[in-house]
Amino acid sequence: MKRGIRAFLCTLLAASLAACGAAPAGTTQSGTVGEPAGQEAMGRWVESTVDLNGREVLGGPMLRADGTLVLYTGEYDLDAMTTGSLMRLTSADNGETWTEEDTGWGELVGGPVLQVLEAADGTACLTCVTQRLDDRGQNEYGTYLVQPGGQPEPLQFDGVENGEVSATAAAFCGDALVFVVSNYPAQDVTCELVRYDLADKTTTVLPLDLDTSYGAMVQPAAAGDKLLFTAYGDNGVKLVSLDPQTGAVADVLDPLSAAISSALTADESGAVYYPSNQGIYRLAAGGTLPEQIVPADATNLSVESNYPHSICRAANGDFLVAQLNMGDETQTVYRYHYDESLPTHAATTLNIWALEDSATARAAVTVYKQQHPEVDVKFTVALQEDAADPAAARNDALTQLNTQLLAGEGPDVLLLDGVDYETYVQKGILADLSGAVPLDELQQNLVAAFAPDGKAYVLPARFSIPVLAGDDGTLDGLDSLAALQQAVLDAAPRADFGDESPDYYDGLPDGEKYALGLTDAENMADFLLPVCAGSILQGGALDADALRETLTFVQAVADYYGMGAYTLEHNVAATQSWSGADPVTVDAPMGEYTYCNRALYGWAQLDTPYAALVVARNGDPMSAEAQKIPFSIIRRPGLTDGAYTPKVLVGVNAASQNLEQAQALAATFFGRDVQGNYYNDGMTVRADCLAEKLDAVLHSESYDPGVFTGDLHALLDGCTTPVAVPAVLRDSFVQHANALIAGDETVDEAAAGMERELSLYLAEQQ
Amino acid sequence: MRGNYAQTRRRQHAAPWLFLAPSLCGVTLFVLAPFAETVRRSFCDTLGRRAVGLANYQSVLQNAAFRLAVRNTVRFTAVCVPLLLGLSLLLALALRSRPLRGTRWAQRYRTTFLLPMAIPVASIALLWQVLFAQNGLLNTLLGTHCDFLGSDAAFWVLIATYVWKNAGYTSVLWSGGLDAIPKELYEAAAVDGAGAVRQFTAVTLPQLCPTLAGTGILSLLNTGKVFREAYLVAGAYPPQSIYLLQHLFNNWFLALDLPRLCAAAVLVALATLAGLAGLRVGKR
Repeated sequence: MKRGIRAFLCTLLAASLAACGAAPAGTTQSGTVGEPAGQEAMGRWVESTVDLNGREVLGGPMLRADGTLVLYTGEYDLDAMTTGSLMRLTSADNGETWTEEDTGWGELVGGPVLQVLEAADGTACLTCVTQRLDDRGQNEYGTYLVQPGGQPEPLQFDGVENGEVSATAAAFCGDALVFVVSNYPAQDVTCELVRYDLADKTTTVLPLDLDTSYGAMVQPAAAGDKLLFTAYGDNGVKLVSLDPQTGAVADVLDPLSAAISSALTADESGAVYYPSNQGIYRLAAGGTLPEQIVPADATNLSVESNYPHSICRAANGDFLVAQLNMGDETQTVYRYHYDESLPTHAATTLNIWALEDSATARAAVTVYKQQHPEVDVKFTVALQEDAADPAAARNDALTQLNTQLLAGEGPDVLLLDGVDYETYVQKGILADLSGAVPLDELQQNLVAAFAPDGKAYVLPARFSIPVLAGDDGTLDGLDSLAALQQAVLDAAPRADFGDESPDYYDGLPDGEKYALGLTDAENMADFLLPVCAGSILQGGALDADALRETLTFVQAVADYYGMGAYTLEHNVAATQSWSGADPVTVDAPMGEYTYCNRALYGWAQLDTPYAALVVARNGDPMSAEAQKIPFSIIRRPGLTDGAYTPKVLVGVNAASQNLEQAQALAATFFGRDVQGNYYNDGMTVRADCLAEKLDAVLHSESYDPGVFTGDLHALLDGCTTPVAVPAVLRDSFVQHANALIAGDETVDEAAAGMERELSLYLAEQQ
Repeated sequence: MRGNYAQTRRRQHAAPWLFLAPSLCGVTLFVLAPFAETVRRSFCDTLGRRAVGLANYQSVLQNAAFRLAVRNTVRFTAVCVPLLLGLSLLLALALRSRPLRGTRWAQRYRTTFLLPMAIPVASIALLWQVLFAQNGLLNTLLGTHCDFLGSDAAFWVLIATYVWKNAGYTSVLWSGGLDAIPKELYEAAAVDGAGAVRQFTAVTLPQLCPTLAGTGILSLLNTGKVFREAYLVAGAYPPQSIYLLQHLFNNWFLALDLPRLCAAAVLVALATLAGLAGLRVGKR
């Protein structure tokens, strides 16, 4: 009896263990609930582009009542005040093919057309520029109405000037054409709703209680009898409804999850669709939880430098999104079609891993997927922007990555920014890229340090240069850190100055200008470490002299400026962009030289050679016509010669199961399709693209050799030493720089403290 | 007859193993096999494909960071474990003493003694920064300007953290051991004329030896957990006084230095086993 019970219990135990590892009830091998096992899931969103024949989109795609899609294009030239032929593209097959015809309207309106709006019945409204007033977009406009089959006729309003309305802030709603009008740039911005009844041609004007700071345009979309639009709220982008009959405005959802722009469309049920960098979302009428319809992975939606400004939903549920590339200001219309004949998941999936997001990487993924639609690419960003403890989050992310790599698994492609990439090379984790990436097509002075023996295990896809800008002739002799320190002490000290300073744009006389805009320890780290870190930590050892010299600079400048008593922060940044050129962001340290006219020198990371067209300061910062002062840009003086900052460091996991595809994906980063575009994250490393960029800068209409006296070629060719600042060095430096600024430590104490802290780091590596 | 007896004996011996099998499988899978892999990796390169002999062990023993971490860990353990055991025993005895026995204070303490263990590590790290920072509460109260967390004083902060967190739990273990001592022994000692101190040294302490072994091992294991507070307060590269083996292992893992990490882990395990074996021999 006892024997029997014992045997029964043993069998029961063994049987309970055997059940472990079986799939949970209700799921199949494909992982999709309800699908029979063995059947592959089908259906995938596919991105394609609409051929605009080299013209600009005037507005965005629109849907007619009969299911036809329509799109207007033109070649407007604001300087010449022409539109060229105003073309209409129509598609009867949900955007798959398009037919183009010349509307003939281009010659009938008063100037270059900016936007064409069309109602479901084919009635169109267009706005053109009738007179250019200045360079800042303050122009006079004309708005026309075109009946189906008719010609453009100027809209006649009662009590409203035609030039006050624009199709860019309008929508057809029922039997009316509704405009939102703002009197920006008046000091007290007010808004009105102008409703033009198409039937009886009457005009109704209603005041609107809208916060349209800085002239933010309202781009409404019709949703039944109401209008919906997005606006910036306290929590982000919010969805707002507007009653065209009463002018009543009400928040619908604040914030609207993942929304980044005004692009919006609605269907008959009142559901709203909007694009973002995370995909296309749908918010049901009355709902509060948007759902993702089209994932952005491996599409142009995911590229941060692409700004979606218009969306349209086709009759069959496909989407068309017009996106503006903020890098080169080109517009592209993308079609997102759900293809049920394609498998949901490709046979092969490549994984890319990065600590932080990268626009270049997303662009590379998009290009690769277009070339290899049979391969899925998954881009994992390990660090979230809102991480409560970034250091701990970074530690966790790297621990997880290393666990996978050391187990012989892990992602196929690695972006090693913010990581000690040399460790991964030395440990044999990375595969050789020299066979896949054409090294001889890359800028050799940049690549040499990464491919010393012809083999490259990690390569930067972008780079930037730490630079110093100053009036022509004032940078001579600034060839070392000591010389720069002396220049700071020879100039006037910097007073406490910031965003809120009443004399922000007043400038200083030459004799009262200080040398550099340096404000705190973080600033000092940003200024010094890109050009000194390579000398402080060299060959696994710490150079005490280099460390002392760097800290001496900190102390000298901090004491001279009285930095410990600073209370104001200066964080203002301005971005300048124009057609066909890279946008240039002028941060606060450069701004104190450029538009504040207070510093003798400005400093920044040079991400694009177009900075040569932007950084020049005016004799009068409040006047656009004031003469520009000749200036130059040099590599920032420091302890490391030829220092530059490598970015988007690409490596391939040597243990990747899909090594060839991974290497091909890595090679895409260095192809012309990616390197030829600018994504706000550094300069191209391809020699041909860099030469073209330089050529474009030097031959730009805005380029004046009398203003920029520097040598961009020498600046770029002199980049020989990649400097990546280890996090442990930066953290220790900032801590002790803070103590120096506060007067809590001397240089010797700070140096001793840093040596103590870094000694552990270095000892571990021995 | 003899055959039946042998068969019966075999069945009797097999049954315990069958019942132990699931647990043994778990221990093998999650403890023994990984340790075997660790030993293997300690003789190989980073990816574990090529054998390198004793090069990793040599590198570890010559590494200054490892030697510092070992020194600090031994020092920390040698100070905090006896301190914890002593303090918690005193606490347990105090709660059982005549003046405090059954009092409200003793009862309140018993309901809260495990609270320090229940406080999240991140909260403790925040609290420590408020208390021990250079411009923190302690410096303000004492009128000093000592960087408790950034200097050698961090070692004593860590000791205090460890003792504070584990004193209540360890005192419970001691209480259990004290409860297990037969009252007759104390009565017999009293009859023989032993006073309180003599009863403590002759009856209590010897009877607590088994409890001492258990609490000692648990306290030793808990010394490893203090790394969490040390890491959250001082980061991956803390002041040298609190640079422990776990810091080194964590940093070596982040640097993909798995071979040396495995070699160091094996050395630590061997040292621990040697220590335990020595205690056992000494006990005999």
